Amino acid sequence: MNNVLKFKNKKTDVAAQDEIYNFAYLDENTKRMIRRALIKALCIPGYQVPFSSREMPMPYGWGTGGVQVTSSCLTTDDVIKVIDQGADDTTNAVSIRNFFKKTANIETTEKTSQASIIQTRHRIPEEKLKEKQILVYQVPIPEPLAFLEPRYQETKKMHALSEYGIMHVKLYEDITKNGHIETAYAYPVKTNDRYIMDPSPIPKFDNPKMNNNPAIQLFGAGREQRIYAIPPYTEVTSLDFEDYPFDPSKAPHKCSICGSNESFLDEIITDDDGNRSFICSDTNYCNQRMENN
Amino acid sequence: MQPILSVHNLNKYYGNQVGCKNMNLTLYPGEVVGVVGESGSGKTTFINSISGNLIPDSGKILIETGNETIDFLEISESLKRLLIRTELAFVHQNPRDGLRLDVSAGGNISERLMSIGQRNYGNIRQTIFKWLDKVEIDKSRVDDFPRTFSGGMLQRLQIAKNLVTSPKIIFMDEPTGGLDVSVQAKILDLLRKLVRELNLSVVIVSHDLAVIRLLADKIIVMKNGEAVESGLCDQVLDDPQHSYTQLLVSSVLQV
Amino acid sequence: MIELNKITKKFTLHNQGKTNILVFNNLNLKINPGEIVALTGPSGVGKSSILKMIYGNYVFQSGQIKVNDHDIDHTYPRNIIELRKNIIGYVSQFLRVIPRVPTIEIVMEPLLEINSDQDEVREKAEKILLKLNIDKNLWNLSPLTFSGGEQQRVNVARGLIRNYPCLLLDEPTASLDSVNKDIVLNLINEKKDSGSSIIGIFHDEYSRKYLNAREIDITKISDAK
Repeated sequence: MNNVLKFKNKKTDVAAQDEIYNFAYLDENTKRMIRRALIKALCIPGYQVPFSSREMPMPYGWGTGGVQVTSSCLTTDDVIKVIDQGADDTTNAVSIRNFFKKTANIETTEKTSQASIIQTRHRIPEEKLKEKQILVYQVPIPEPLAFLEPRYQETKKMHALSEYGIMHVKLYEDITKNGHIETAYAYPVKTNDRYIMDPSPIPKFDNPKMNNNPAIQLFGAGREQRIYAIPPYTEVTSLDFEDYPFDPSKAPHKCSICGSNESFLDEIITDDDGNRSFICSDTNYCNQRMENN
Repeated sequence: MQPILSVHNLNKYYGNQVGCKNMNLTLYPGEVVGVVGESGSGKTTFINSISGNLIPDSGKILIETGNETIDFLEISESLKRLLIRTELAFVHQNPRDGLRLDVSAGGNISERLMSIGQRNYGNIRQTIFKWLDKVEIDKSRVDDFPRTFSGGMLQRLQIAKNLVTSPKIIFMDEPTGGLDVSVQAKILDLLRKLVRELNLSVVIVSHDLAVIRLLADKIIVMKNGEAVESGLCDQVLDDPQHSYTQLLVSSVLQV
Repeated sequence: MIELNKITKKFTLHNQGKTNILVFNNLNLKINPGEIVALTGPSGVGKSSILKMIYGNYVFQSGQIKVNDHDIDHTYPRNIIELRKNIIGYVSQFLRVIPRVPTIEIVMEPLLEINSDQDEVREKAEKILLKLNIDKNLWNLSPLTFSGGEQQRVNVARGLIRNYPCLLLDEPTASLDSVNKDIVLNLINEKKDSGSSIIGIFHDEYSRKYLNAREIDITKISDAK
């Protein structure tokens, strides 16, 4: 048996590698299981569907949930974009993009408008998404109530019975302690006026983008083994109080590269004196603006 | 007028051991029914069985919401939990069982308000202050955590947390047990005042006859899981007919 | 109107050798509206017990008690609670003191049950306390440290602040001096004039004569004792 393998490995072209990996890495039965979970999730926006998370060639906490969802959605015609905190060129984004190149041999891109599937960690692209695009979010902790109620049996009931009192208790405590709702990312939302959902650690600035979005939004948590979803044109509202309405704020600066006043910014310390500049977190958005000028 | 709560022939066993049996109770709006008994009499089993904390083995519990009569043991769990969250309240003997210790005092009181849909922070805050005043907790403690409160304060906070949404029926299990006598007295006076002011309907369990005498209109005396005597509170305590009741009454020390 | 028909009452002391004490057998009594009846008889004969049975504080083994056509029936405690709210008033022999409740609130309580206007009720309470010579300084204090006479006057104030069709009085003037005694007796007469049926126990003949009460000797209306 070993001889056969050695013989195969002598070939280095992509065709040989196709024989070792199934298309997009996961076997077809697993994809089927995940697709069933995705369909269920899309039918019940914001509801966490348990799924059987597989061993992936990257550790838990590095996007295994997102990768499994993406893998289950991929076809040979897809064009994939992978971003991490808005950037296409960070180590994780590059690794995952290469992973799909290797296991699925599909086209990749950095341009949001050209991608059919976008896998993201902790940001939503600035450019508006269109129908038929899929946005896959990487999710660390899917349960928005986990901080105050650690028992899964309890949170399951609370979701089932819409017992969301403690969610607002948390916001109340925030306002009491800080004078405003302090939560800056992973800001809880209500989906389709029913389930309360953790949108993954995206900045609250991005929350409005989730509302009524023409694209399909899928969420995968590999370690916690949960999938949830928002179908296109679904109402997504951020929790707030009447007199303390939700404020999707960002740093009050312009991007020092492209000059945009509207995009979410990363803060960069530029020298040892603590000087800082702000630049767009979404690298593709920033680049496009520079190209167009 | 319809009773707001009626219990018929309630039985709860722990294996072969009797928890309580053949228990009946009618509670009218604005009434306080006291259940007395010594340790092991079954009074705690009884109140837990009629408030949704325990599932009895047999019997009927009917709750009158004003719009309809609810058969408490037959409804779905989701409806039961909704009732427990909105129309019913339970004041535990140990206030730590009835409070969220990692949430501020104000946050504790606010929870029931927000679970029935209130969304104005300013209004919620006003209601919290009103109730802190009612239960005589200093307003300055509103953002403090319960772990910094004394036993009496915790109990008063638990009472506020439960009553803030004006529940239809309140269950109390030894609400002053374990507290110093002077603290107890303060809480009893508070309960007496609130019962009258808000026209509350209460079922209260205690081993202390004096507490029941002070608060209750009607009384049920329990022994070995059963009711041995029941009726008007002052009548049962002043003219007890059953031998056990006579024993209880004669055992109480007069100061 | 108050009616007692064929009342039998006994005490069975289960824990004291199962002793039976027969208080009344075949007791009959009738009081009309606007009438004051004074129960007489030796001490311990059961005068207070009659008042307590009418109020529902004591049970009776057989017979019937009717107040304004309502039955005193212990199988329906709720009805007795309702009667006590609106029909039957009771001034006990001794004031039951809760140490932390101030005098003014003790007097206000029965009226607050039917009138939620705190200011109006407080005014009425203050008026009756003044009438009974309870000094303003004492209103915010608990009666715990008051003299017997003062406590009794607070008790009377509490019992008479409202108008009841049926009024039960257990030695309302017992510990009072002559000045306050007359004040209380006048108040009782006012209630009679407004049409209440009144049964009272007055150990002194002066009170009974002042009220022009019909005297009824307990020993004559019951077979026991």
